[in-house]
Amino acid sequence: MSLADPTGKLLTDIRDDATVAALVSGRVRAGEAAPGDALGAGHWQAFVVLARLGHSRSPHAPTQAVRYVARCYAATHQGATALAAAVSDAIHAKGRRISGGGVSIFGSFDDGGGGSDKDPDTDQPVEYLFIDVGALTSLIP
Amino acid sequence: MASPKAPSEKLIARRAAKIVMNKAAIDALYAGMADGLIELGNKIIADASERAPKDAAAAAARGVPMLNDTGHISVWGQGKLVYGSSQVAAAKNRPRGVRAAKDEIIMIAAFGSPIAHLQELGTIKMPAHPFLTPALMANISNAGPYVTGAMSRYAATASTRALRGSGINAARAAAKAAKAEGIG
Repeated sequence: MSLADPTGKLLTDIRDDATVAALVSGRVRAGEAAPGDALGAGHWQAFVVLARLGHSRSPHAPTQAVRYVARCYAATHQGATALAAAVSDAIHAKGRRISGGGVSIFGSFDDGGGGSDKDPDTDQPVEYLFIDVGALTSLIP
Repeated sequence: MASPKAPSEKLIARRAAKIVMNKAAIDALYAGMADGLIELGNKIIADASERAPKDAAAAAARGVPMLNDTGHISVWGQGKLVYGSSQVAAAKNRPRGVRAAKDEIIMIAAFGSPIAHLQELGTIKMPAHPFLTPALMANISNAGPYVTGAMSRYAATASTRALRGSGINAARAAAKAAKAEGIG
């Protein structure tokens, strides 16, 4: 039995949030930025990259804890902070939901921020947000 | 007559003795907890070092240590550094944003390389290559035995010491009494 991956459902939850959508216009990516997301200085635009950091599977129940980082890029540090706050609102303390593919998340939480930084290659402001997700290990038919 | 509001001297003495004994146990438990966290932290760092990218040639060209050689842990107990690398001990401070409350024991596992967080979290041009979080999550579910094992060892040592101490104290008191009688 394969281990269900809640990344898609989490990404959809963030992308479909009205506040996040207003800030990034759908530019919420999994793993790495899409071509055209990162523009040069003076043309920076907001986008979110969701990266999976690791997981821990319960030995006693069919559940897993998965940890993510949401890298929230914006044109300014204030913008990046506002975007991270919107992403946090979109997922924090959100209860049970099931994706169309049968992935079941029973809780997601903002686990704190890694602070604000600049991307080393482009100097674009970025804010790190850590997310903990509790999910079932198997798909619900 | 003794009552709950006015306990007898014997009861007060018994209570005081109990409290002293418990304080000793708590100190031992704190020490055991710290020992367990040190053991756990070293395991996490060793695991993360295995997973970290290793590019000896690039590190040598830049004149910096390899990322996987920069891992270290520090343990803070009751607001003070109780275990740490010489780097942390010399700085006498914690990483930014970490609070060590006086009633807590915390362990910090970190990599000192300036590119560690970029490898772990990724950048615009590079996907994340997490090495510390997977090591943490692989070991955190087994954290209990590290801490409880060390705590049990300390508690056993503390109770043995307490027994020995009470025996020695009794022998000293007896010797003192015998000496006083002899003088008398």
